[in-house]
Amino acid sequence: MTWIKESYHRTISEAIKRLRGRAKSERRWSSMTLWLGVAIVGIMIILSLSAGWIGFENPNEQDLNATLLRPSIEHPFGTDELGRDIFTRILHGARIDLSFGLITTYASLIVGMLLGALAGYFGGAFDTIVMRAVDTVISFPYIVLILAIASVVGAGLFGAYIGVLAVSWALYARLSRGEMLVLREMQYMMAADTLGFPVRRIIFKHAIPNLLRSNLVFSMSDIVLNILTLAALSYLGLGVRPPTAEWGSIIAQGQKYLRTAWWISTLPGIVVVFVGVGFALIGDGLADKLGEDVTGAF
Amino acid sequence: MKKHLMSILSVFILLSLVFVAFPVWAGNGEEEAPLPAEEPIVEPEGPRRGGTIHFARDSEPATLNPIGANDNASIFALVQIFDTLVESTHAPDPQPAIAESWKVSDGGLTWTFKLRKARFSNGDPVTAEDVKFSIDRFADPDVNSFYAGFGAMIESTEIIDASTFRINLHTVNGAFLDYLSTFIPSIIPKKIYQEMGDEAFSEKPIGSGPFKVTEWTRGEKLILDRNPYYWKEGLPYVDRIIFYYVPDSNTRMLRVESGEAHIATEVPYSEIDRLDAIRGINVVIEDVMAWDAIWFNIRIPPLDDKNIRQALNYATPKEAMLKTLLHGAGDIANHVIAKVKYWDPSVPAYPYDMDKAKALMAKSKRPSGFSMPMLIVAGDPVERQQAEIVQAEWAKLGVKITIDAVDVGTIWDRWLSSEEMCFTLPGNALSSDALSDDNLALVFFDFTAGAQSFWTGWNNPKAIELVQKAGKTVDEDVRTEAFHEVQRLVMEEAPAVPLFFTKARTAIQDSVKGFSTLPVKWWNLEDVWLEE
Amino acid sequence: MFAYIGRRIVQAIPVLITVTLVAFALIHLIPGDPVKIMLASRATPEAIATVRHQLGLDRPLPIQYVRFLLGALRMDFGNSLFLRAPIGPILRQRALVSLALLCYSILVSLVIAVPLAILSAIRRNRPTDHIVRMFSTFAFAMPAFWTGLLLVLFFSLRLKLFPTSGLGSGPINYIRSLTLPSITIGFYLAPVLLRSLRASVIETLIAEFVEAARARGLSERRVLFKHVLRNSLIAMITVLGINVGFLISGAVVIENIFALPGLGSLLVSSILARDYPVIQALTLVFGITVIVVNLLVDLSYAALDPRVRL
Repeated sequence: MTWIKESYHRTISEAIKRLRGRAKSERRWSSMTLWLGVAIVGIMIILSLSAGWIGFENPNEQDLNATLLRPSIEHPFGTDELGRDIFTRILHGARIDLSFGLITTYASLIVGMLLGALAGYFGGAFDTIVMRAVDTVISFPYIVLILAIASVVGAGLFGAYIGVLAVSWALYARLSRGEMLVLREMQYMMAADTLGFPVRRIIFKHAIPNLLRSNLVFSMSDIVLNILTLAALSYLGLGVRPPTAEWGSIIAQGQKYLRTAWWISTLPGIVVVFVGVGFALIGDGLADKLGEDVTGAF
Repeated sequence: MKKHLMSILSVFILLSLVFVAFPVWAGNGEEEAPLPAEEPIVEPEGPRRGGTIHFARDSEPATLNPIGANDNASIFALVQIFDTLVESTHAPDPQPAIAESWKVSDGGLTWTFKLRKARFSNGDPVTAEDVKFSIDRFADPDVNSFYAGFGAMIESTEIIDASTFRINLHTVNGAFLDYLSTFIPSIIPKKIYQEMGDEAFSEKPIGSGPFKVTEWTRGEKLILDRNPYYWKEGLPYVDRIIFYYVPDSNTRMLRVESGEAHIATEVPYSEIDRLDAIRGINVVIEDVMAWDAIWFNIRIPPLDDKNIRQALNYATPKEAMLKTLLHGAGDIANHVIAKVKYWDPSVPAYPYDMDKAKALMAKSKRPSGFSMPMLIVAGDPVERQQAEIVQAEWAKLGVKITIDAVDVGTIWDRWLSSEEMCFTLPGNALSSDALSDDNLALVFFDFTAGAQSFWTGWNNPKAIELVQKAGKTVDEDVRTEAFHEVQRLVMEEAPAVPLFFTKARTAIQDSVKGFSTLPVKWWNLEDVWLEE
Repeated sequence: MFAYIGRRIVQAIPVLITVTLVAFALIHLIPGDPVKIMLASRATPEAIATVRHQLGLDRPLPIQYVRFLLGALRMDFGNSLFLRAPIGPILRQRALVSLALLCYSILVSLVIAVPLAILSAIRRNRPTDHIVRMFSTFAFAMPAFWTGLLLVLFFSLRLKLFPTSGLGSGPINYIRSLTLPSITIGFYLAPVLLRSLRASVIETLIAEFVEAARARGLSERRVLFKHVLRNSLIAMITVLGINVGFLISGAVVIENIFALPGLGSLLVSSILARDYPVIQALTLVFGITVIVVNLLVDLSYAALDPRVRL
């Protein structure tokens, strides 16, 4: 491995040049994806917040004479088995789903990444404790844990929040720790260490921006996953309380009608995908921007 | 950069189109469904022997032991493997099976059975010893712990001679023969059972029923072959039945559509019309002794007020629910239990009448309404929609329902605690195991019988007296009259909102002949045959 | 190396004990009673008492736990409350199905993810990259039951290439019957792998030692396959290792849709039925699987990246 060290000084300048050169053309692009993502998510948020004013007041209004209607001008996404307007339900459900997806994902990202980074950096007893905790959580059947938590804090949305949080931090911790092991050996980290920078500075200034990148990439799919988990939980009576409109449960309820009334779960499904794409774009944009910071730290 | 944006958007739009178009297109493919074209009707030459029936079920058996089974998945499989003294058919009363005939004496206390010459699937004869052994197990509350009440009236059993068997009762019981026709007192070979032990016997039992177990892969399939020694001449028609366990209803229906299965149970209500329209597939809808209702705990105020319970009954739009949720596959219930033998069709059901409901509310203890939680099983869409409709309708009376959807593991715990106010089970959850009303009546109307009137707390001395009077006699007239009176009483007192008598919905290929669902919800599959 | 493995195994024991103990405590904390579920409308106090005694549920909880642990040491998990049969053989049979499904779907995912990720990374921020990423986001966010049904409608009902559901008998039919479920899992697993692989390929591409390799005049292809891919595998193996538990227990939706008797559906049904011994046994099996897989993951770090100290 000595050849790396030998060629290090020579190549580092080239690498930086290359990246800087790329960054100019890419900066515009990464802000573009970022803004496109923000626009998608933003439209969703604005629509859901203003649903009441733009003519989609009551997501629970039933009309048993207008059940299972195909999408039309009057009902853009059709109606369900109880004659409720699916579009209205989606708009109202967005509040619950978006906040659930975002809060659970980013709370667990922050906690997990910090624990993972510290464990990877310090090693030793702290590492062992954190990693054994991670192992325990990861190897624990998810549903048992969530059911148990819900029985303590009570069923409903709050239980779902706690349950998902209690589990998903572990994935970020493991991911970050693995990366930290590699980063720790990187020259600039070693250099910082040798130069006697305080640990806090090394971790927050040098390691975290690096870790954030892969964690953010991972988190973007996690948001959608957590939204879908909320749906799975409602099968165990742990999601939202009926008749509350929520994407996952609308999709799950519609599953039985896939062959006869495809729109009930397909159209909300597209909305989830749409939002998922939005978040993915934001994530890519952010990752690119953070990537610049990483090179800036060189 | 514009170019990139365009490429993203175009992919996006393309995929959205696929997303929308695919199911529509796939759904329209039905005309081309790969099924045998309908043959010109040829005069049937009668049942054909041979063939294998592929049978897709929604749940998997837990055990094949008649004692210890307590779920429909197990019961409906083991009735194909075992025989009972008397059997359940479409007739209102049990029919001769292993018992060719029987005599009742001592005013219903002594039952003497003439045993048929039958053989187990290994060729051994069914002896009086085997019968006695099986009935004794049925009568022992420590062995038959799940259905102890069914055999509780048995005092003793005796073998008179090789083909005569007697059961002595300590109390006359009007439903005794019905209980004997359930799956629990199935006749098992004493010697083999004792050699194999309970555990091994539960996996691969030997019985004298129409089929025998060839292979059982838990969670996947159960293969039953014809019992060559079956006592019904010429039956069963088919050589083999393979039960598959297919929990997802969409997938189960696909099995029939693709021709991989001949029969699929529990057709979702919303799929009935679509499947029935497919050439070569038929959805049969049959009366069974199953029902659906919303139960109150009438010990908790204000549900102790009859006006309120009746008002909620009037405020439930059963007609609309039957149409939208059950797609017509049910009957509006005029009884809080299933229509069993002594059901009185002349008792009126509660019509949907908001004015009457409001009037009753007005003279109740809480004219302006109240709030209460309603316990339902999570994950069943029909169940949830039903609760959502009721919630919307009852709100018009000022009764605010919070729907508490819990998993099936919790629901019994909570309802049995007697602290809940209101609860309902999915429509296929409650059904009668026996042909007469007695067992249901004990559970649902006799507060003293152990289940506190299904934990509704309905403690009505008149009803209890009637149920017990009917139970302690074999006089059909007395029994009919008593049960009819209980029905009128319970409908008036309304400890529940009866919804529907639910029906069996089975998708079958046209080539399957002779299939029918018995009122007890299982099938005598020895009568089924396959057209070529 | 062996000392490391030994140390990890020793470390795994407290984790397993914690997992089983916590599982035992938790499942008894969850409301619900297997006896009441079994008896349902027949749950009179006498019947409850009799059945509870028959099933050994009237013994004190610590004794039940110790019995479970002692049994587990002898690979004897006792009997299921509901299936009324020994748990061991049931688990073995279902574990095989789960394992086959897992391997097949990882294979499918790799076949999809690796070439696309490399393509996407090399053509970073060009249209190809965006299209690949867009596809993967789409695939990921589609509900599994939806993807599964579409695949069945098309490949089974229309083209008749695969059975709609169930397990085939014989090796070829077995593989055929697992194909659609594996693709369905691949739909959400491949995007996860793709994203992490793409990200780390890009990272390694700009890392110093690759530059060094380039500087030494190695061809792009050689650099890509020899250095970049090898290093990027770490990220992907981590993601796979993290997801293995989730993949087994989370396959429940796919198992249900395709009527496959795997461990996921067993876990859900035994939780719903409060079948305590089965839940405990499954917890232990999941725990061991995840720990072993993660040990392998950590070992492969060392094998793939010489910079990582163990």
